[in-house]
Amino acid sequence: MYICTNGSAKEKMKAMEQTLLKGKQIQDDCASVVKKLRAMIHSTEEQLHVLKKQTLFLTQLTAKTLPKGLHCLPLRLTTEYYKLNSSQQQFPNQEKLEDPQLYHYAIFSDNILATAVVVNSTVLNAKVNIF
Amino acid sequence: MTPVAHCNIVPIKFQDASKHVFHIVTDRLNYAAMRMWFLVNSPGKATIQVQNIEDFTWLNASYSPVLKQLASPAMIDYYFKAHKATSDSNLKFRNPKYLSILNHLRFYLPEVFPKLNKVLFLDDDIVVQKDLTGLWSIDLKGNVNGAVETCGESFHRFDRYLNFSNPLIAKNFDPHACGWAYGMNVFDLVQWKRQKITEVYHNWQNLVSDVHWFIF
Repeated sequence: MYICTNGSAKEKMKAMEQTLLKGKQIQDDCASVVKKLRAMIHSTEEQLHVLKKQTLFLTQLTAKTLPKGLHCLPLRLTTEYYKLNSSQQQFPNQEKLEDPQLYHYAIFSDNILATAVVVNSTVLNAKVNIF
Repeated sequence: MTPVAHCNIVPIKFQDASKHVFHIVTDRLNYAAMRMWFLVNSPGKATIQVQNIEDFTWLNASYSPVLKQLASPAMIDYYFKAHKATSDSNLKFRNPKYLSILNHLRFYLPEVFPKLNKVLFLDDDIVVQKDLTGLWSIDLKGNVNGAVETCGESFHRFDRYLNFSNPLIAKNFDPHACGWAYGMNVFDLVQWKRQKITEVYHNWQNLVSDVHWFIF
């Protein structure tokens, strides 16, 4: 058996001991981090649950408080449109569509209410009331 | 001489109400309804036009590369499949609304309005709070598009959108240049045609065989 007794070996052992200690500490920290993360997951899940409940409530509220007239708006407008005869389906002043002297706006949308808001707000705020 | 009270009548230049023309383009599903709405709720003397995007026969997959790509399985996957390990900013660009051709029609304004020189493009999520007629007299100094200034320190800069590790991007774009936002834009269609912007757009679009151009 060879026993090491010189000083440098002792120092090395001390350093090793410290390293091991450090490693152990880090391991302990890992456990506490895991604990913390678990707690965070838990509270986040709880929050998610509450928010889901809130969403459900608000969706129902929207559905119930939306004016009846706006239910299936595109569907009702479509039916009404096809009840018109073809001359009633035309817009007036179509000769103006290609006149470069005028103020031309382009709106590309599949949302009728949103488009109505854009057009109406533009017209209402034009310098001179154009009604 | 007897004093005369002078009434200075200041001539007021009245904007002619009927000078505003709204061109609405919608999809097949909403076409009749959109027409009906504006037939019943006509906005004063302003002129309204409602068109169905499917009636634009020139807008087809052989003309528009984006139309071809939108129908590709890879693109549909991109928009509809769940992706792992992605950041929030990516999510913003992966809204399926970008799959709708109605959303891409803005890149074909001269084709939609062949006889017009200038149009004001409005998105449907805005509310106008001021008179906009002044926008038509802005001198765009040869530029095609007049947009609202939204550029910040790093906000809306090209390097936030484009992948500058791609040499083609690095060669053609300045990473610090400002991107601009849609919402309300004046387009000079004469300049658009003169600078062949649609062609430039098609060239770039054709290079995008996949979506790795952008920082997704």
